[in-house]
Amino acid sequence: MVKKKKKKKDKQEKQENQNNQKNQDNPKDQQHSIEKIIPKDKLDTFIKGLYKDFKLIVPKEAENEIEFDYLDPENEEYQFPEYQNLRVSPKKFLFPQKEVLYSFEKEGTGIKIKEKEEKIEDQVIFGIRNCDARSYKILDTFFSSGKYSDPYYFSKRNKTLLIGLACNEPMTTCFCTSVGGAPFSSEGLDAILYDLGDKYVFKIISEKGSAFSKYIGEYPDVKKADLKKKEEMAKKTRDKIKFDLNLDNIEKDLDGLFESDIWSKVSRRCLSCGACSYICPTCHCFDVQDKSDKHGGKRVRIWDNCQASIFTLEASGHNPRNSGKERTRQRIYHKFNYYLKNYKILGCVGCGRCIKVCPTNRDIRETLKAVVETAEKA
Amino acid sequence: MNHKHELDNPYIPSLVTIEDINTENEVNDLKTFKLIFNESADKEKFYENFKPGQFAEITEFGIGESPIGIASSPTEEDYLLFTIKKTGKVTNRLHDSKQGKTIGIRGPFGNGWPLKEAEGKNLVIIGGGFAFTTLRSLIVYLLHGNNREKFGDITIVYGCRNPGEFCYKKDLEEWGKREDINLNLTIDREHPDWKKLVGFVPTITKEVAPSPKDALAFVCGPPIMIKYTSPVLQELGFKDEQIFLSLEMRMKCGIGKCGRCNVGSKFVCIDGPVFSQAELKELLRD
Repeated sequence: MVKKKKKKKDKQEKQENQNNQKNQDNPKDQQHSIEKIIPKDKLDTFIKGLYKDFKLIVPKEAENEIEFDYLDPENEEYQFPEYQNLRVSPKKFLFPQKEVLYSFEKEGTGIKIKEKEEKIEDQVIFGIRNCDARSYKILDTFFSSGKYSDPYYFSKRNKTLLIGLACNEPMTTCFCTSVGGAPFSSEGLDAILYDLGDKYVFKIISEKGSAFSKYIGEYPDVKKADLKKKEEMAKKTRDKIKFDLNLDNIEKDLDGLFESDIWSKVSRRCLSCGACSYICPTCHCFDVQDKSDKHGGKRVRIWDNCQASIFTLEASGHNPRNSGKERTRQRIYHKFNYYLKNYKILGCVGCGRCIKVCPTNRDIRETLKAVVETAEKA
Repeated sequence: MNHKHELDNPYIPSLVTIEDINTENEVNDLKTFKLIFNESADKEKFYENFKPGQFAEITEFGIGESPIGIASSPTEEDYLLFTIKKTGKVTNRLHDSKQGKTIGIRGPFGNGWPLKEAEGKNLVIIGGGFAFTTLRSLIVYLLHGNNREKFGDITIVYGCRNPGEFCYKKDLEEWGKREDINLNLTIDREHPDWKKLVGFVPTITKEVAPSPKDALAFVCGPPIMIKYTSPVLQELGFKDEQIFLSLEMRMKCGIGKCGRCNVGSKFVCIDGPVFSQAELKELLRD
């Protein structure tokens, strides 16, 4: 049922121009708006309340970094660790790096297929940033597009709610504001927490998010002064993002630059390692592989990477994207041209992870700047 | 097990049994597999949307899956035919298979040849080498029952390197006898056993193609054949909107999700594999 509703919503969104989508709360969802104050020392109580009905995925201290992981509130007290954004997005919880599609057993010369039996419980991804929430919107659109909806993605997606944590300290690599996001935006979220320093403002955003109202009834209502502070912080944080590029014409700009020599230039340092696409919260391409022994086996899908030469290598030996030039071009066109053509949205959320992870310090912002500047000159 | 649900998941193959295997060419790297559905519900589901020019994903369980053009016509209701070249892991295993083996199938996928648009028109059907597979599906469909009268003149050009490489020899023999189609078989170079046409596909096309007025061209072949056939059709006066090509790209899922078979903003698997020359000119092609 949820999926049906979502599809309708997607359609409406597809009709909207990408520019109208920019970082505003969805007006349809405003009537669900409930704003409460959660004192910092009550966050754990709030979380324990949620845990009665939801599995929780939260940013947690791991060995060398902070990563999204399942919380066990019965045995641990939760406070947010300090983070700007996590090195790895929570994409894998809905689109795992490896996922069994089905298994099979051999029976003489015959085969018996066993569908994957997955018991998926309601879950909340807690403390997700706006960029990563928007990446799920992109994945929702893509995986539901066309005649075939992806059952493995939506089996998890339809059970998942997102509670965001507005971003107070963007990183130097962040550029969400150039691709329609904002540190304090609640787009794509079901509810959001704003950290005002000494307390959180908790706001319900979506219809699905109204399920949270039962856990916050006892908390005090938000005061005008809190809202004012929130607005000030939103602006201050937004101003911390220094990179500002107008991408309103990016689809048209790229239409004219397919044969441009900028692709040789911007791909020159590329090692085709694919780190950028593995770390990307919106990349969704996958490979399909079979594993088996004499009794049976399984079919698995695995994240794949368009920067590898083998991605499009055909059995005949022909490869339409034979060099780094074509593959870099494909990555940029996919996110900034084909996505707009097919779904009227950008395929990038400006999280900047690809910039941080690149072993040769390539910067997608520089590429986009080169595109815009070359198009202006042409 | 909930059978309906199984059919609804586009990643789960239906089971089919290899009923017959026919070696098509002298080199013995092309075999046609005749497949029968194990479950009639799966068969019905498959035939609901089946049109000439589509493809299916064939599974060798435990090895993998390959996208293959469907060589049989929807009018051949009892079996599916796939002509498969021995190329990689899956196709090698298939070539080593015996009758009675269970394999998997998902599909039919893709748009197929534009049959509605073709009604009332003269058709020139141009194929080279073993890429003739989905053109066989098309021709069998066009010649079936009352279908023939819906279309104008049908001209076929089918070229191979040498006589031993032609697929579907029985069909060719039958089609050659019919008065209502113009079948032109050609080989690249003279051969002592060959009494039909000699010359490359583009050259023969130039000689036998109908007037472009109220005509469509359906082309499927190796890239080199397409490269030289398109200009010939244009020279003859065929507009880009009248020329249809079937494309291939490496693909995995067949349903527009795995992300590798795009030509510009379109996926070959769901938006194709058949595109008009006009559509292709609009796309940004690697």
